[in-house]
Amino acid sequence: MTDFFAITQDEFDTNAIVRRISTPDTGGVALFIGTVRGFTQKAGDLIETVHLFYEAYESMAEQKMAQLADEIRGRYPDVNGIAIVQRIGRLEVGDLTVLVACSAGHRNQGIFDAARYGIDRLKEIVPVWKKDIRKGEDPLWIEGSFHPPAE
Amino acid sequence: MTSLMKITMRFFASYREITGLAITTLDLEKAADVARLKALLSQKYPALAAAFPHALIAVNEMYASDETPLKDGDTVALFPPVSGG
Repeated sequence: MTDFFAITQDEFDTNAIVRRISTPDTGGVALFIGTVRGFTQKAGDLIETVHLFYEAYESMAEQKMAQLADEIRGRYPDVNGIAIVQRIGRLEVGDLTVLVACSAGHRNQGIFDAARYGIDRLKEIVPVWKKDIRKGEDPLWIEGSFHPPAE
Repeated sequence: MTSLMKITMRFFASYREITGLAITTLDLEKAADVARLKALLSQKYPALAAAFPHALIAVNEMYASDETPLKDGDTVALFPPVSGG
């Protein structure tokens, strides 16, 4: 298996990750990368983010990333390798925060949808939180809305 | 005190800030479930009780519900719905 899961304080190396999840029969990799957005429209107001602070329940998050990869394979069996990386700590506007990458032999083997599923599901079940440090506003912990069923 | 069990309790994100604790231990009567633990926590940390309707619970790093039974040595984590990405 050529999967790669990580929670890290450090910048990630996208090229290295792509190489890591590529097998000799890989011909394409689809990547989703999240970044820190500086301005967000919210109910007619423009909120300016100064930076974000990310926190994770690291050991559980890595398990949930592995579960997420199993779910991706169940839906997109042609996927070769899967990488899921979440950065934590203080991240500035423009920084790369998260990466979901899926490789396959060909681009039409579900890798775009697989990466999309991966990031959507990460935002539901992987225990990571972000605090929005906003200009002229109190800091705000962002909360999701998904309640995972008991396992 | 053989009728008690020891639970390791972890709080994350806003709940860590509300309680001022990332990790603590609690004594709980044997055969208690998550609902019983929450009742005890709302006495100890009244400000946390307001968050309970939205809170997620993990027991030994698996998502749990109010009915999940607890045993001695379990690690229970309480946190808001996740917001990674």
